[in-house]
Amino acid sequence: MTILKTNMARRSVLRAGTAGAAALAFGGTAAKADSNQVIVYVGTGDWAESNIKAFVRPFEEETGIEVIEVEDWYNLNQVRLWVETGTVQADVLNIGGSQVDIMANEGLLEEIDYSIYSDATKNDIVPESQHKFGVGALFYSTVLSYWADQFTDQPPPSGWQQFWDVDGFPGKRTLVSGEGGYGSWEIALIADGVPMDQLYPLDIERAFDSLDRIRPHITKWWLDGSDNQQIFADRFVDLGAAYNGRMGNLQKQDLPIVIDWNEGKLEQDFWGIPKGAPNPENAQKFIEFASRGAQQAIFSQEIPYAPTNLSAFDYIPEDVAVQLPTYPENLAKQFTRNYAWEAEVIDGKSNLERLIEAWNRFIIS
Amino acid sequence: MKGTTSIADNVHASSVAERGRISWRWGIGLLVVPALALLAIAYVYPMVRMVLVSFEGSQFSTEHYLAFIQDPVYTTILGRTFAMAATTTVICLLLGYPAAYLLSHVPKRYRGWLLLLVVVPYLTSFLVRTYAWVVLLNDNGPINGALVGLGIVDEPVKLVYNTIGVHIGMVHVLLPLMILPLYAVMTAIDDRLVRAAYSMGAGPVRGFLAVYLPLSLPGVTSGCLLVFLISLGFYITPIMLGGLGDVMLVNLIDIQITRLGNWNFGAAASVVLLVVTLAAVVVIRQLSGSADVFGLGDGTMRRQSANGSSAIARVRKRLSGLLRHNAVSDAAMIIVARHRSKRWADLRARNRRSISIGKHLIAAYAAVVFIFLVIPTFIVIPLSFSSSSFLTFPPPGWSFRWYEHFFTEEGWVNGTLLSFQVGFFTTVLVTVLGTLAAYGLVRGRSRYRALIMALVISPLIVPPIVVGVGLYWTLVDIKLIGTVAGLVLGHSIGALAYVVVLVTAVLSRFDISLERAAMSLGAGPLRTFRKVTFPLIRPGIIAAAVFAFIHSFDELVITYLISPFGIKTLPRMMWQNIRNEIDPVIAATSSMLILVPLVVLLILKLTNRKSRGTDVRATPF
Repeated sequence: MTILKTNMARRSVLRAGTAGAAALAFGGTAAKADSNQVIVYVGTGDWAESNIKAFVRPFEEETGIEVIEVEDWYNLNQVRLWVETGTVQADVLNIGGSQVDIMANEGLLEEIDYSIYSDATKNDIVPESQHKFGVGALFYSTVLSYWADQFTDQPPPSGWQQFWDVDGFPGKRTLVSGEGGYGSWEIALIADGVPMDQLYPLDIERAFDSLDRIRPHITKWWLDGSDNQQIFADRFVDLGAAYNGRMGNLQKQDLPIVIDWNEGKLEQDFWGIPKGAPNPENAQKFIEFASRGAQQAIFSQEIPYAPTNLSAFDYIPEDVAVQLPTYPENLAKQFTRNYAWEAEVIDGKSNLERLIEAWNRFIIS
Repeated sequence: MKGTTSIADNVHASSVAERGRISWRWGIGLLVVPALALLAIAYVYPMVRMVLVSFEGSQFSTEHYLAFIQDPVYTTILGRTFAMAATTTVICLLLGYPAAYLLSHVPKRYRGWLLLLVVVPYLTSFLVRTYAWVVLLNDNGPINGALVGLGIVDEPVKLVYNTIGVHIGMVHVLLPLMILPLYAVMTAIDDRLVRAAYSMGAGPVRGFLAVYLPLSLPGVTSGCLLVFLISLGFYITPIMLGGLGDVMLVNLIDIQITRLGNWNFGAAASVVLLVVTLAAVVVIRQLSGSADVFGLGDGTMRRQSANGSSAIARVRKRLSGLLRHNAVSDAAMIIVARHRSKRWADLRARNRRSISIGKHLIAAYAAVVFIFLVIPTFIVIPLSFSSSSFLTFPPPGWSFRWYEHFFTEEGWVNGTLLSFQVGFFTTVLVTVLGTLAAYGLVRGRSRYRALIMALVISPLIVPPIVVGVGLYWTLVDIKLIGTVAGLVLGHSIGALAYVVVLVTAVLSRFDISLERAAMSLGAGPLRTFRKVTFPLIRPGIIAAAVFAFIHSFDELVITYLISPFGIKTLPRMMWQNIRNEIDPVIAATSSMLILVPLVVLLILKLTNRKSRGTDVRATPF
C-alpha cells in the first residue's frame, strides 16, 4: 500500500502550478467561456489514485478535456473564502455529506444540471444521492471491526450493544470522536436499545448518557481515517468503530482484521461545484461522467467504497461486491446517516451545531 | 582648538551634543517603523477586518462575545488552556535553566556540539517529532517496554493519549525556546561577580540566588514569555498526543471556522483570548514587582547609579549586603578577627566543596535534559530505514525505499525547496527588521514601547486560522494571493515576534556604557553598532534567526489558506501524509533535515578551526 503514482508528469499539478497558476487561480466572473480544462480535487492517497484511474483518465480520453487533478484537501472555510473573494480555484470538489447542505445554504455551490444525465443513469442513481447541489460519489461505512485473535475462545461481538458490554467482550476499544461533527451518537443510541429505524430525530441527551458509560473503556477516540487505520495496525486497540475502507486496506496487507456490517453507519460523499468555478460546464460534464455505472464499477474495485449508481453492480465481480457497503446483504443491516436532519436549523442553530456543543460539554466533564 | 575656550563655546558645544543625543534618541525610535509597516500590512489590516467580523461589521453586535463568555464550555476550555500553558512553562523553566547554565559554562570547544543537540531536534518537523512521541510512549513502545522489562512496573503505563503525553510533547517542542534565550543572556553574565560572592562567604545557593539569578532574569522573562504564549496556541500536539479532555481553545475555534463557517464567533473568541492573555502578562509582571512589562529596560542612556533599578546595581547592592558593612560588625570584626578568620577559612572550604558538588549535580541534570531532547531523533532516523509501511518501532527490517520515495514521489522535493525558499526570505526579512525594531524599542525613548511590544508578540497568541482568513482577503486586495511573496508575509508575522523577543532580551542585558565608550572615542552610531554592539549580541541574533526560520519552516495553518495553487510546502506534505497513511517517508524527510545541516556544520567547524582568529569573545557560531 504505497502511494506510487502512475506517470503523470505532463498533466501534473506541478506543471499547472508553475505554468498557469495565475490563469487558473482566479475563476469567478460569470460571463467567461470554459477553457478546455477542468480542475478536480481528487483527495489524497489511495482514494486519489482510484479517482484518477476510474474517472479522470477515462474522462480525458472520452472528451478531450484536460483534467487538472489536485491531490489536496480543502474545507468549508476555504470554499467560502474563494467564493467571497472571487478566487475560486476548483471546478469539482468531493464534499462530505454533512457539508453539502451547509454549503448550499450559504450559497457556495452551483446547482447540478441533471438535464445532461441520461434517464437510465437518473434511474440507477440512488435517490438520496441526487441532491440539488451535489451528486453522490460514493458510500462508505463506519462499522464494528476487530482483530480476529481477540476472540478465539468465544464468539466475537456483533452489534453495538455487545460492544458496550466490556466484561463479556474484553479488549481495548476505540470510537469515533465527535469533534469534527462526525460522531458516535447513533451508535450510542443503538447500544442503549434504540432500533435503527427510530434513530432520527436523535435524542441527544440519551446518546451522551450512553457515551458516558463506555467512556472509561475507550483507549483513543479517533478523528481521521489515518488515525483510525494506524491505531488498528499498530494494535493500540483491539476492537472498535472503523471506516470499512481503512480496514479493507489493512486486510489487503494481510492483517487479520474482521469487519462486521451489522448496525453499521452508512455515509455518503458528494461531487459538487463551487459557485463561481472557472469551468462550470466542464465540471457538470465531469460529474455526469463520474456518475455512470461502468465508471463507478472501476472505482469500487480499486478501493472498497460503494457506488451510488446501482447499475455498477452489473460490472463488479461477486467477490469484490460482497465487501462493499451497499451490497444488498450488507446494506440491509445498516442505517444511513441523516444529513438533512443534521442541517435542519431550529431556533437559529442547526442540529449539527447542537451535537458539537453537546460533545464539547461531554469532553470537559 | 588649543588654548582657552570661552564659556559660551562650551555651553554651545554641550547643547549641540545634547541636541544630537536627543535627535539620535528619536532616530533610534524610528528604527521600529519598518517592522511596524510589515505588521501593518500582513497582520493589523487582516486583524482589523476580523475584529469587525466579530462585531458583525457596522452593527457592532456583541452577540458573539456574549455567546463565548457565557458558555461554560468555552470559559472552562479557556481556563484549561491557560493552565496547560502555565504548567508547560514552569516545566520548561525547570528543565531549561540548568541546561542553559551548562551550555554557557562548558568549554568553548564542546559548546558547539551541545548547541547542536538543542537546535537539531528543532530542524525536524514538529509534526514528525510529535508523532515520534506517539511511537515512543504508547503501550507497545520502547519506553513502556523498558519499564516493564526492567520490572519497574507490571503493566504498561498510560503515557500517551492523555495529559501526560501532551505535556511531554509540548515541553519537548518548546524547551529549545526556553534554553536559547537563557543561553544568550547567560553568556553575557560576568562570572567574576558570582565568584566575588563566594569569596565573601556566600554558599552556592546564596551566591546563585543573590547574584546569578537576577542577572539572568531577562533571559528567564523572554524564555517564559515565548513558551507561555506559544503554548496557548498549540493545537496539533493535543490532537495527536492527547485524550478526550485535552482539547485546547484553538481546536474549538478551528472547528467553528473550518467546519461550520462561523467566522463571527471564531473571531470573537480569538479576540477574547488575545485580550485575556495580554492582561495576564501585565498582571504577572506587576505582581513580580516590575512595571517594565516586557523586560525592555528603561532605555536611558545613562549608566545607572547604585540606587538605580538596573540588574547590575541590584547585584552591587546584594554584594555589599553580603559584606554586612556597618559600624557594629566593624567593631565585632576587630575583636574576634583572629577567631573569625579561621572560621571564615573553614566556611569557604566547605562552600568550595558544596559548590563543586552543586556543579556536578547541575551537569548531570542538564545531561538528562539534553538526552530528553534528542531521544525522538534516535527514533526517527532508524524509522526512516524501515522496510515496513507503518511507523512501528523497532522496524521489522531495513530498506532505502523511503528515501527513494522522497526523491521520486511528486511533491516532496519541490515542497522542501519551496519551504526553504520561503524560509530564507522570511528569515532575512524579519531578522533585519526585528533587530532594528528591538534596538529601537530598548534604546529608544517612547511611551508606547510596551504597546508596540504587545502588538509585535500578539501574532503568537491569536489563532493562525483567524489571522489566515483575514490575511487571505488582504492578499487578494493587494494581488499577492497565491504567491511566494504572500507566503513570506504570512510567515513573517510570527517569525518577527521571535526575533524581537529574543533580541530585546539580549540587548537589555547589554551594558550601554560600552557603546558610550566607543562613541566618546569618536565612533559614529553605525560604526559602534558594527564593531561593538553587534559582535556582542550576535548569539542572540543568530538564535533569533534560527527560530524565525524554523517558524516559517513549520508553519501550516496560514500556509494552507494562502498557498500558491498546486504546490505544497513541506509541513503540508507531512501533515497530509500523517492524515493519510503515516508512512516512513516523513521519517526519511526528517532524517535528511537533521543530517544535512549537521554535516554542513561539521564541515564548517572543521574548516573554521584552521582559520580561527584571535577574537577574544569568539562565539561558538
